[in-house]
Amino acid sequence: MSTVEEAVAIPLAQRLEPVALAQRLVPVLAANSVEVDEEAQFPVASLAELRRSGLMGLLVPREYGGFGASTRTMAQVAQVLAAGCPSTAMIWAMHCQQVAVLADHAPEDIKRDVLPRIAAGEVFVASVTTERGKGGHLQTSYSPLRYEGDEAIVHREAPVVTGGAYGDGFLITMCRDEQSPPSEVVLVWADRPQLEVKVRSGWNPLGMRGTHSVGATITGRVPRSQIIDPPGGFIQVAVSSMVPVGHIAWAACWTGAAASAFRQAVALLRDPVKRKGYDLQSDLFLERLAQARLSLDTLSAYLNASIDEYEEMRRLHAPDDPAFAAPAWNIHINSLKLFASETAFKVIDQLIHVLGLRFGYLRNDSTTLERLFRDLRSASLMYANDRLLVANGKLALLDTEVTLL
Amino acid sequence: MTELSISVAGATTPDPAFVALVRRHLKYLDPAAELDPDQELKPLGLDSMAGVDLLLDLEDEFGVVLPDRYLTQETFSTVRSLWTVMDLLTRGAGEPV
Repeated sequence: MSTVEEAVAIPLAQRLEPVALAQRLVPVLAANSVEVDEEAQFPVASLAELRRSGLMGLLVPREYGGFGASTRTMAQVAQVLAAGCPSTAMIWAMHCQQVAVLADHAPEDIKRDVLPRIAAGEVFVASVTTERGKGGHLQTSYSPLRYEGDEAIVHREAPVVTGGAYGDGFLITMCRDEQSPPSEVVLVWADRPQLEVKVRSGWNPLGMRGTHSVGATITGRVPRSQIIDPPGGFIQVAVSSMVPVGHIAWAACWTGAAASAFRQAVALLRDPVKRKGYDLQSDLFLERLAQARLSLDTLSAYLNASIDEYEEMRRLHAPDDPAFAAPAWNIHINSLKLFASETAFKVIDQLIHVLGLRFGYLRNDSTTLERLFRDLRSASLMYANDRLLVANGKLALLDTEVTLL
Repeated sequence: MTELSISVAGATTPDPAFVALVRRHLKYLDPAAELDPDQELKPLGLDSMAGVDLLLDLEDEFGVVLPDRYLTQETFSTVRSLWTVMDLLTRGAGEPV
């Protein structure tokens, strides 16, 4: 039988469910979010709480000290965190995306070195995939690795690196070598001390101001053993882990933010004092509220269906399986990003319409709709919907059976 | 109706016009470089998106629909593998086993 002392000695992360842990952090994230938004600051204090909670290792397999949690749990945690601070949730979500890539595709040596440090909260992973001149196309890189002996030399200009100034580790897409075409993409793992990261641009955006997605020049040297180049190439990493986990994690953040907005609106409308300015008997008012709720529920349903499909795919197929190249699967997961980014923003817009100027459009003490409107405007622009729609249009021509989600 | 300008039937070597059609979709191939029929096309720029554009061009050129079972990485791996499939599809009944 365990004593009280023993129970206390068990790390918090192992005593609480991840979702319950996240719920404990929400008030802290929310309190910090005001200054984070005002000053466009990286949420250092909130990330420190996430590090302490163990949630940075949510997707780290148990054998490496993490929770070994499912994609569904990740999405639930992201939704909870986004209710506190969408920027912090998005930073965490993108970190989880990189952890999934490492867990699914990195060689054992890298996993043994890096994953326990991530689980311990020591390493926040920043992702470097953007590059000038490739229009956000994930599967190309015009920055070749060079080699000296057993070392690979990294020199990379990146126009957008979320949390770039604060990463403890970096996962960087590079072209394999100077002779290879840009389609020969490999991933490079680099610890912060192995790199020099020069921030090249400031950060003063409309919303998601805490994500501190700066432009950076990244240079350094790493042993060749830190190159991740699995069979099937980077495209396989993208279609089996990076894209699905990324789209699910982002969509969960946006859904969580939109749901929190709806909760704020309902709380306000149930408050006998604050609801005095609204006619709750008006058919028009009720219809508008119902339309916003319908948007939110369809968003949640599409997110859950996407998680079901991904978990089923992962149950049936290893990460290196060509099944992940299927057009229908790629259409569905791309559509999640498209639909979630548009719908979550629409929900905020609808709620502002419902609540009007005072509690919708203006900054006020009862809702954060003004900030959420700015935050969620970014959703269709990051990993731009325009380009994703073209890809899905082409993929639609290949799926002659029209295999639905 | 698209006029069939490239003759496939029975030829073991890909027609130069066929090679030229494929080349239009290889963004990383030096225009001055030779294209060997057995050279891998993916490193030359034939990713999945470029593959769809090539598919549509081939279907226009040959007036056939490529059945789903040929929409594989193998089919699109080299000029020769593409040529072999188009040869099978355009020959006689056009439905290879």
